Amino acid sequence: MSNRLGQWLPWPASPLALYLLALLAAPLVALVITSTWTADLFSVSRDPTLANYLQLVERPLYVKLILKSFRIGLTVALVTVPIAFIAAYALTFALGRWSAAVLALFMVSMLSSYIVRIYAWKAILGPSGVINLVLMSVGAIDEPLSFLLYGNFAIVVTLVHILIPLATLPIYAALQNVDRQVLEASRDLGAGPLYTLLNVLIPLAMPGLAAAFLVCFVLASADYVTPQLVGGPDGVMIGRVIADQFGFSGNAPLGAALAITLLAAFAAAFAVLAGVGFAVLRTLQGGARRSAAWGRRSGAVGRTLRRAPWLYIALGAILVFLYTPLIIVVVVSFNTSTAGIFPLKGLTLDWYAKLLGDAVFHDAIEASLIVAFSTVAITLAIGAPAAFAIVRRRFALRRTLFGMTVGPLVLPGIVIGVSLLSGLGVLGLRTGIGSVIVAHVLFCLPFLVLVLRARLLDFDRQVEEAGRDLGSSPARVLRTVTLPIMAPTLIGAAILVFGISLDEFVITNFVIGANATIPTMIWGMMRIGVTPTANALAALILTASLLLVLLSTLVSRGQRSRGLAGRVR
Amino acid sequence: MNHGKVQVTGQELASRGRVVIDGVTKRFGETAAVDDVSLEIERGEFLTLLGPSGCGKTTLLRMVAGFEEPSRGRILLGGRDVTRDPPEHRPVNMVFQRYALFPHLDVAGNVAYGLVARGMPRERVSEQVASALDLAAMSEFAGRAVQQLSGGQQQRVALARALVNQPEVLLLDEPLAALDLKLRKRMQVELRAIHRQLETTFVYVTHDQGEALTMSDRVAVMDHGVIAQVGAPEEIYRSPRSRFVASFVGESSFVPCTVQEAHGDARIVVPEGGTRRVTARAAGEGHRSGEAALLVRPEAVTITAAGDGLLDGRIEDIMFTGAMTRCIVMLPGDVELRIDAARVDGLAVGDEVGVTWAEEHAVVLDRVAR
Repeated sequence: MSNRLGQWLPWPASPLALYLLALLAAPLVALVITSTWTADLFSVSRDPTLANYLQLVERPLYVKLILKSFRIGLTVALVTVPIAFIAAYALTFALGRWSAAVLALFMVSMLSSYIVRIYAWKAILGPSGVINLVLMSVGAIDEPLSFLLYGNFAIVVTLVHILIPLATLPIYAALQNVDRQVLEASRDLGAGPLYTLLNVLIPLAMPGLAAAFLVCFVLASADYVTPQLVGGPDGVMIGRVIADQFGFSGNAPLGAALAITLLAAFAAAFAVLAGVGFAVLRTLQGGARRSAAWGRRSGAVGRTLRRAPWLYIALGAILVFLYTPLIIVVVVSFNTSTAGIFPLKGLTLDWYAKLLGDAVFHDAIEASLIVAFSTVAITLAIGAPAAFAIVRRRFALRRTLFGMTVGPLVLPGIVIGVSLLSGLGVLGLRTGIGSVIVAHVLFCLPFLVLVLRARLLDFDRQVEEAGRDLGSSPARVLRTVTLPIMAPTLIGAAILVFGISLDEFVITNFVIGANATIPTMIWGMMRIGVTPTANALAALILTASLLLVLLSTLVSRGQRSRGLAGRVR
Repeated sequence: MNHGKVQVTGQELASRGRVVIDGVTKRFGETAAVDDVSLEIERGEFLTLLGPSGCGKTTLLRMVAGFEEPSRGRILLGGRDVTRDPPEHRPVNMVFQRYALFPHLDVAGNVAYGLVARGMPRERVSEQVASALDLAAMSEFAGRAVQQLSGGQQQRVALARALVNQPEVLLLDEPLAALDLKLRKRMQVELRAIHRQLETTFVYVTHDQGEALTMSDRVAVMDHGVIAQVGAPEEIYRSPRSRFVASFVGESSFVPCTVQEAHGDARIVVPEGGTRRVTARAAGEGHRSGEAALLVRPEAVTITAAGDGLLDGRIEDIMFTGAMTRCIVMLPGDVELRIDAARVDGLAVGDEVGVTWAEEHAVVLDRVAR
């Protein structure tokens, strides 16, 4: 009996399946149910109706907002993915032994708080921001350039900055499977670099490129924090409208209907974009053939241009772009000036002292740590056995389960947030630390499962067979062979989950209730403006994420160098 | 394929397919992977670069292909200096070690790649692909995904993909290394047949000396970035210039000896542990007197009764290897002599025997390996 069940879903995978069913699928259903309710000023009617959807059709404002959001999301994705591709290409093919270090820089950037980075851009682009102050002080402009902040430009720059590391990772993973000899074969067969890029490298990297594009497009289109902080009055996007419905506008049913509509619109957009994307690639591939003679033009100037280390220059520019905002935040956090940003008047630790003396800060740290540690423990307990089952067992629901696991990565955070909120609402439960942990586990599971799965896929199972052959029971093999080999990956994944949990804001903001974690605390401070204490808090968060990545690098490095001799001793 | 536009002079036509490697050095940091190598490969020749891993043979091949740029020196293909040309502008094609087939294209797509990239019209592409697949005996697999092919079939596709472009020079980087012994032997024969059929120059890299001897018109033995010796397989085998070449190519035993007289190429030597003077050939001008070693190939040695041979020794081991039986005889001074004999009837491990060898096969080389 249990065997037959195991063919559908083996027991190590069942906690994950139950979790996803209860906390991803059910809340989405709850969101659909909520969207059929109606709200007026003070009460919610639970009689099912399509009134909200009709309202969306009748008022083109919402449709226009969705289209506008998609336009921004598309812009962000079209800027981010090529940048991420260049970075991933350099990491894979050009950096040699420096690759690990530069990859760590991208990880630091990814884990360096979402909310702090938006904050940093506000500090750079704002009317009293770094760029405007510098330009005015050298006399290039008389008054602040308003287009820098409070507009689509600022939104795009900020989102590109946030998404570059996130987009680099899947492309990097895809390029890991590309044999360098295949690229050489293309050149050997008479294809130039551009032709090779379009006809070999991009098709081979397509899964990673598509994933990166998807993530960028979804997260950018549905982001509600960035437009609110740097978008200004014209920068309203659909995410913010949905968030407002669940917030002070108090029309959750309409918000739910909007969220459902947004999901449907995403599905339609993907279909269109995939079609357009492949058509464009086909055209470019043909074009590259017609211009195959380009590279034949030589001459001194052409040769110098070809030989310039463009890739390294580009990679350097990307790193400068990723790190300058962070460095500025850290620098101004020591500024004595109360104006918040520039000019640097003197150096002080006062803001840190003030922050450390703040009771709200203590509570937020406590809440964040409780959430992060609980998230790590639960995510590992649910996700690790499931990852083993997904890689090593053949069962009917394997693909379905894996698809659902990575679902939270491509679902907009706002939809997860409002569906959890709706689920709690349907059940009549309160928000708080508990619901934050639940949400973080949901969001961290895909990262954990993906990381473990990647390692397990190239795990040589013959070493386990050797363990059995040498007289160990399966349990002993697990303890003495499998887990020690997986330990660096498990620890690394745990650190990643810890970092993501510490940093998570988009979903947390919906389910935190009256409490505050560190990111929601800085959100509260930011709405007031750029303040010295916020700078100090931001700098502390950045330091914490740097330490986390250093820690995970040390773990994997230490494991590698500890060979046989180290163990025997 | 714009051959029509190119003015071909008689001289260029004559040098088509000719490879000149002129004083080429390739440094990676401090170490020279290839150190001042010069080599001329004739049109239509099958030349093998042979050597242990790390000897620089693959680096040299990759410089001819255009994947590495020489630190010094020039490479000429068909009389044209291509030293700084990117791979796509060179009239050469390569069969890669791991085949490097495009995983996103089927068999026909792989073979068509080079023609399409160079802008050949579609109808002609399919014609050429069909005939290349035919040459490689892969016609029935045209629509197959490359992942579904066996190692040997992938190898054939890689070969067809390169040859369809009608390169002046075909470069092969240990193409048979991943195949099992039987398939490897068969592919060696097929590659030779294909080479005879085409007018293409083949430059072949391998660490397998047997393969090098079987297939090549000439073999260049490489060691530590330099060419130790170039010559026809038989010349390399029979007249190695150094102990390295002697021990890398073929089975060999080295018997210490003292040179007593030198007459042109001939040397009169006394093997250590014996008293009889024997004649041997010198590898070069050196070794006119004093200590040296005699290279003796296993098949040149005969076992005699003790006291009847040039030297006496004791049988250490007897191994049946198929066509031959291998005997290991320990000579005085712990010198191991390997012998291949058709029959060893009546001999047993521990027997005291004499050994003698055909004098014209013994070569005088350095006493110590360098």
